[in-house]
Amino acid sequence: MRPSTLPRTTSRRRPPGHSSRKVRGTILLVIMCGGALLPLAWLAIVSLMPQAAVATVTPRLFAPTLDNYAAILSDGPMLLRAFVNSVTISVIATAIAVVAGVLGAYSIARLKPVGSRAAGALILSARLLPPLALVVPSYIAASSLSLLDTPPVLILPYAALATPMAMWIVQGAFLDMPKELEEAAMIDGCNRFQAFYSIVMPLAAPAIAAAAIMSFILAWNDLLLALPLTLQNAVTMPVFASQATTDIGIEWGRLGATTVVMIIPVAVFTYFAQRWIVSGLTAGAAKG
Amino acid sequence: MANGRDQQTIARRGLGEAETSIEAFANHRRYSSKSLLGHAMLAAPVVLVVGLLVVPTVYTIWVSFYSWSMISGAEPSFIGLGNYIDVLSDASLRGSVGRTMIFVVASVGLQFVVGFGLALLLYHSFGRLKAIQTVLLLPMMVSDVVVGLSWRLILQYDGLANWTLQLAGIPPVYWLGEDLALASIILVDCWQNVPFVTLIIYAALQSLPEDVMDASRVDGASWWARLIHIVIPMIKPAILVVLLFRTVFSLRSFGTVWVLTQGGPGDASTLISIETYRQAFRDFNLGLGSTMSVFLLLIGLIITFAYMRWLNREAL
Repeated sequence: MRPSTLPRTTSRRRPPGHSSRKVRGTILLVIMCGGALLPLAWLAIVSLMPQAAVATVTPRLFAPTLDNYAAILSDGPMLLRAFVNSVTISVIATAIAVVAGVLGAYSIARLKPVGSRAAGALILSARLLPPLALVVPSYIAASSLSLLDTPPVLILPYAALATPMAMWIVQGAFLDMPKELEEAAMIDGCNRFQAFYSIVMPLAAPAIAAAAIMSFILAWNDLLLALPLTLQNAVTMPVFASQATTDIGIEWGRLGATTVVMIIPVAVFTYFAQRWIVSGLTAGAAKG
Repeated sequence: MANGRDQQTIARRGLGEAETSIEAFANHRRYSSKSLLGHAMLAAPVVLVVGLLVVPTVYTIWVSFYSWSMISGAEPSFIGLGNYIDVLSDASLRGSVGRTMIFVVASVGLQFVVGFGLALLLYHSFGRLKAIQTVLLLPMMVSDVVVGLSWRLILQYDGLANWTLQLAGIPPVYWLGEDLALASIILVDCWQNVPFVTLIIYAALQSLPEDVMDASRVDGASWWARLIHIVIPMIKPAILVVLLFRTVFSLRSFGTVWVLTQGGPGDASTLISIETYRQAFRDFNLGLGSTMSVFLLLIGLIITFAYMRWLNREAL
């Protein structure tokens, strides 16, 4: 029997009180939004307060100013260095993780060489290892190679930590793609790698971008490894911001401005990658 | 008619067989190159993950059997389970393990109940969760440092929380003091992760067939009975995934707590991760620090395998 001849079961009867439930739903969403945003928004508001108003940080009316942003820019090299370090380290770690993830994903999804299933399971289950267990060995390795406080000691573990998630996201896109596309390309004279590179990769671009975003955010946010492995030259934004709190008397205006700089790329990327985020975070748990 | 269809089926099957044999032949000839490319492409992630995650973790376990101090200048010496005995016999170290358990159970329990409740409310009220997905994801996507700082600004003595209490005529409270520090970090962990629970449970609820709910409604089952006996069993895999992920990641909490309290005052909010950091990088006792992180690894693995067994049993 053709599916269309079956009685439709999906038509949703509108129960009584439909519109009041819709209103209730909207109110609920607004409350949830407010709850999720309030702490971050408050930090952003404080970053716009004039210096004098920040001294006692309580809600009040004030004329918004960008003084704090000007102040952190002119504060000397530390913040700028932290920003450049964070960008450089995150971008390179992302590039490594995405390349490794895409290659591995294609191998597992399509080429399926002997042992690929086991390798895929191994890579995914490596997510069970807590990053905390990397802290001491990274420190020992970095200090014996005189690499403490340099970007590579952060780039490598970030790339490794991001690889399983990147691979999972991209693998899903490869598996959703009809095999015939590559087969057609190969009949037309492409070799396997050309088919992969020029047909499959562009079609998987959104998933690859999402994998890159997730990898970038992982590296951009980390404090656990950056705190013990950096001192001055390779300090990243999270380390810089976390150290501002240890001084007596926190300058919340400037710190607020610093954290807004940390939030903005994450917020933009989260918006673009939202479809993949939940499945990426739970990589490996869903069937497949 | 029927005969014609049979012939067609036979013809198709024959074609299929021909195709597979061609493919098998082609595969046989291509086998080495395709397989070589496959292995070469797999090498990159395998080398990264094994070399930079698995090997260092094994090395941590190895270091945990050593007395390894960075300041004494003495050579690391093998002491077997000495560090483990220290952790179990020292009240403060053992305390951090116990506190981590309290933190995880309380935090995951609370965020699960709240997140589940919100998902149910939304399900019953046509909320378009997709529209605010980015906002809900934000608390868990921003850095733990940002989360810690924004809540510190709220919870510090002259912060927003006490300001609100005073508006209501309630005397201010030391949110990050001895008594409330652990409760405060639990609260912040909940705030950060409730949306994750809500998003996954809401998606699971929406995937339920509607007639199941309708049929049971006709049977006269109460809302509560429907929830317990029909809805929860049907979305059990999603529930287990949420609990697994939240438990494993709560266990690892570091940045938020570090920025909020640095584990203090005293040991009031010291979790295993904080204690690892203190042992390894304040006291430069790498052996004991490693041992603390091995405890975290073991607890995480035990919990994961328990959930996995449960999940597999549910799937059968």
